[in-house]
Amino acid sequence: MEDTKILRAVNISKSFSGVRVLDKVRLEIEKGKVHVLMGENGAGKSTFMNILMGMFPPDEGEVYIKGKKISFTSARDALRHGISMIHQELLVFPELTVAENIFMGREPAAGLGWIDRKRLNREAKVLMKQLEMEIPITAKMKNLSIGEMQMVEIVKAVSNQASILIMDEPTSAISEKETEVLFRTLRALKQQGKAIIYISHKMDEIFRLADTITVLRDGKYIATRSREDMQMDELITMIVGRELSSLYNKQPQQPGEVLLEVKGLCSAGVDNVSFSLRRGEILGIAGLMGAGRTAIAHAIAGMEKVTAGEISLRGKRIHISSPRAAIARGIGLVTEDRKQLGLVLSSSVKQNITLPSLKKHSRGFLLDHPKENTVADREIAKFRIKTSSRNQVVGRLSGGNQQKVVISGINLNDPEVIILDEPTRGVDVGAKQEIYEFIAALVARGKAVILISSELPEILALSDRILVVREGSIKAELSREEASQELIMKYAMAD
Amino acid sequence: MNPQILDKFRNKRTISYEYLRKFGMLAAFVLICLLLSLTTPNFFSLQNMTIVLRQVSINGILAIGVTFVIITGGIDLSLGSVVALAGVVAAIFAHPLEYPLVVPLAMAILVGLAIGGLNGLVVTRGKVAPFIVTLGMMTIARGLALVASDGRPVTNLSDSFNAIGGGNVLGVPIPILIFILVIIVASLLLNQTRIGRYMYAVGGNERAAYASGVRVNTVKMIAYMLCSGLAGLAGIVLASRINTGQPNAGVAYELDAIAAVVIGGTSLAGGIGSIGGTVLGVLLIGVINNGLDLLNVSSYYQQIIKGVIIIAAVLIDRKK
Amino acid sequence: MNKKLVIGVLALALMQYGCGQSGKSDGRKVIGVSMLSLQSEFVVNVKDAMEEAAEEQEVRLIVNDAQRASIRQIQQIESFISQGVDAIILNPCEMEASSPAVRRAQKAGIPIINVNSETTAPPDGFVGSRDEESAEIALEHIAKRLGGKGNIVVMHGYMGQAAQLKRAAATKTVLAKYPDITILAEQTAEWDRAKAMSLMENWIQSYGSRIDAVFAQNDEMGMGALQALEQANLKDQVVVVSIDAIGDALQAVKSGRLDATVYQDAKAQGKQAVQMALDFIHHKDSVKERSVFIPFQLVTEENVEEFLE
Repeated sequence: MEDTKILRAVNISKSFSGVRVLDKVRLEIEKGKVHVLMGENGAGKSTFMNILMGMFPPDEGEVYIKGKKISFTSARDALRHGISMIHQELLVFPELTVAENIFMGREPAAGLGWIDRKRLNREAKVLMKQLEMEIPITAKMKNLSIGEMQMVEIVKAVSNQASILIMDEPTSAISEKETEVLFRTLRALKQQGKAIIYISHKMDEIFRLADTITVLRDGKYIATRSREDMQMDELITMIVGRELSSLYNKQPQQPGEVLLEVKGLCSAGVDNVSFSLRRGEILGIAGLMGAGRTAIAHAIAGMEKVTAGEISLRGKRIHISSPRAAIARGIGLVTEDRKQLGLVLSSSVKQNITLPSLKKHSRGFLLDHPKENTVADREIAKFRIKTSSRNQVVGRLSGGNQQKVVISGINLNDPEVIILDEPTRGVDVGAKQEIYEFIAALVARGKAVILISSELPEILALSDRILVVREGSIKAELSREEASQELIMKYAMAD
Repeated sequence: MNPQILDKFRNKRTISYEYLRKFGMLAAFVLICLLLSLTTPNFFSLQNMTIVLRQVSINGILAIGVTFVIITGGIDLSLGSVVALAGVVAAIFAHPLEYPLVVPLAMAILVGLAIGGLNGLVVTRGKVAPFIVTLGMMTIARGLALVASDGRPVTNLSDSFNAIGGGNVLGVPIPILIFILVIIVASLLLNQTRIGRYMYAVGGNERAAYASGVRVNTVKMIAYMLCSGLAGLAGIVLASRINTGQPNAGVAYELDAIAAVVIGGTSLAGGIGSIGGTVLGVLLIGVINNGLDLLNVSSYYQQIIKGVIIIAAVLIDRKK
Repeated sequence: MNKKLVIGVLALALMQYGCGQSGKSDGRKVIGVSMLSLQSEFVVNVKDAMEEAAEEQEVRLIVNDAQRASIRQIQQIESFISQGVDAIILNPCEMEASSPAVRRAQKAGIPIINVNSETTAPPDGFVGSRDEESAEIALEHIAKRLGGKGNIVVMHGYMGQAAQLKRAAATKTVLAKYPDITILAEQTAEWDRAKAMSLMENWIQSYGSRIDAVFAQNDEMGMGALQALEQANLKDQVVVVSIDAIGDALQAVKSGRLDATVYQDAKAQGKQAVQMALDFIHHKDSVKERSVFIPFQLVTEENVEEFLE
């Protein structure tokens, strides 16, 4: 029994600036098993994993690998002990080839500091084959999809002799199809006796993949169960610490007048797209990654130049040349890429919340600090943003809380049309629920919502109508009643 | 120190840390002042403090200007040349009994604003890296200064013009008053106006600022114009202080200004920084220059000491 | 001789082909001039004198600005050689680093004359002044005014440059004769007026009324020191002497503010340099005077009128 426990962490505690982030957390990992780690954003999962990776030492507690107590102080040590992590934000070298990425820092040498490129490619090919992957090893990393990059990272970890693989929300940015490939790979890794620590918020995945589930909440260890002994409702209750009536609870809504009308829209990655949107309506846009969903959103919100077609708002044709113009016309975009397009990470929560609507909270050219503070505090309370204060640097918040900051900022302009691009990506269950409530409140007030999501259950549960996009154009429009996961996937992947 | 305590410091990145770091820099400043006042009898006199302030006023005005540009994520290397050009232009219009005093002042500042506008235009519309644009402008402005002055210092300036650099109001030298006024206005602009807030946003994440409806190009233009406009003002102060418009004045002034900004904790990556920090950086450099002269430290060693302090300051900055 | 002819023809052909505008179509002789820096007032004065002389003698000048970079200077000489100029006047950036320029010109058989400062490689001719002499004159004047007794401060130019080194060396030689004159402090102000002003202010703080005289290695710094002293109301007690006799300094001498400056005759240097270049062009091997030293002159209130235009 003892030797199957490849990793054991006991009573790990950690505090940052007096706040206890981890409190006597424990974890036992077995060979050849997928161990899912669950918890809301801010529950301490990332800190815990960073300690295992040697990014910083724990205040208390011990880590044993194969029964031997270890103390590592750097990521290099962790690698030496066979622990590898596939980060949520992939750390790749975009200008190098797949093979070069895999062997980064360990390139086969050909003497005199030259790299033996032939051997490099040959060995990369062998590794790919072992995991049944079909990624061209001479392709440049930047030309791969996020899913493929992830695969390369996995190959890299395996080639590093990793016996424990930590995966932080690997499916948050990849398509359904790629998820299937990933799962197949994970099963192959299990066969090879690798242990996998898998962090995710997606229930369906967890129940398909997990052998064991450990739940953390507010930095505390809650429970570890085998999958067979775990029910979905029970799991959700463990995670949030309260009963969630239902994640998706759609209120019937009577759509009003047509608010937004798009005709023959063309733009980079958008080809002749037409649709209309009514007040009180949630229009879902589904499709694979890179199918043009985000491109449509960007064209409407002024992020990309419209090359042909027209956009009308309340029956009046409008020209949107910039995000500024879109905001002025009452169109708000909650971007899928909050780190690049949504937030100024070095600024405070307050400054990010008020940035898009700053003019409203100012006196002419002058800022109105008291008013701004009031607004920020109100929004923080309203969206239940977990932050030490309004002056906290936003880059230090968890993903879900960052997302709430973005949504709050866009919402403060009181847009008539609000486009939410992957609003719940990398967001924990509790925050998800709150975002759904927010969307429901919007449409109840007669606003119109465009919802872009890769999570089909989400889009099915929330939308009144669903557009399926492929190769930049709309392949199907499905009513709420007729839509199903199968039908969406059918249109998303082929005619 | 206990490694765990150090660790806590390293991982705490709330805004309150900003104060801690600023306080650290302030402590270093106070320590150096203390050290100098112990080793040199005249250092802490009111008279010497006034002299230090007057000496730093030109670098101070420049550093504040370039703080705006650096906060927006840019850089301005043309400052020193703009100082020379503005000084020459001011001097040309400042001969006795030719124009009222306001003419040379306005011309110099207008020249500064125009150069800044050009920098801003090429950076925003031409999408050329600020480093390149302002490097080019550095030699263009220097060339213009030489052309305008025919390669010779412009002398014979009116007493009223020379009084700007040499005169006092209520016992306080005018350059110091100008410097203080610039500090106040710049602080207000950066902390109390929308444009100031937008500068931080543009420097912190230009694309996010654009997506939030910020007029990114306008914000950058304003930053470059403020920077060069203030360089024009510094050119006036310099020309009136040395009673000539020198086409070869101000060489490498931009480096001193940028050093002060960096010492003051403003990030060269943009998005982070403050006028207070810059003023502290300016004072630090000024006090060190003054103190080393008072101690009659060889100029060879002076250069080494200054370099060490710049690097040390940035190291402190990185240790957050 | 034959080789030179070939090169000459080749160069001529190149010129016709490449840069027609610098051709000798008007039949005038061409002198290539590479100046240290046209941002320096003194150098500009030398250049102006050359142009004046060239106008009188009906020769063409091609004036290049090396902007204080010896590598640029070498390139300029190379381009003169390929343009086939008849003579070259060099105002060297540095003693050692500008020497290859001299050697290259000589190899190409083009006479080269150094103006104002020297290079390690001996040129065909030299027109200039002995830099030490300027500091000697200045220091002797200070010693005279102090009665051989007192405290002085010294402002150096850019450390390591020939002028700074020579003037500093001369300072030591002169002061060795006056044991009662002590140097309180010496420091560089990098030839710069604003820097000199700050330095003087700081010295006033340190030494106050103990300073009896200031020797600045150029007038820009002397003017800066003067202004600082005037602001501290100390000018009456302190003798200020500097070198170069720039317009501003001459005015200051005239109005009794600056005690003395030392005149380096830019005009004579420029004129003589062009004259010597022409001598070389016309009778290459029979030039007698290969080194011309233009003396420095002390300028005080008494004789300042001679130097003001």
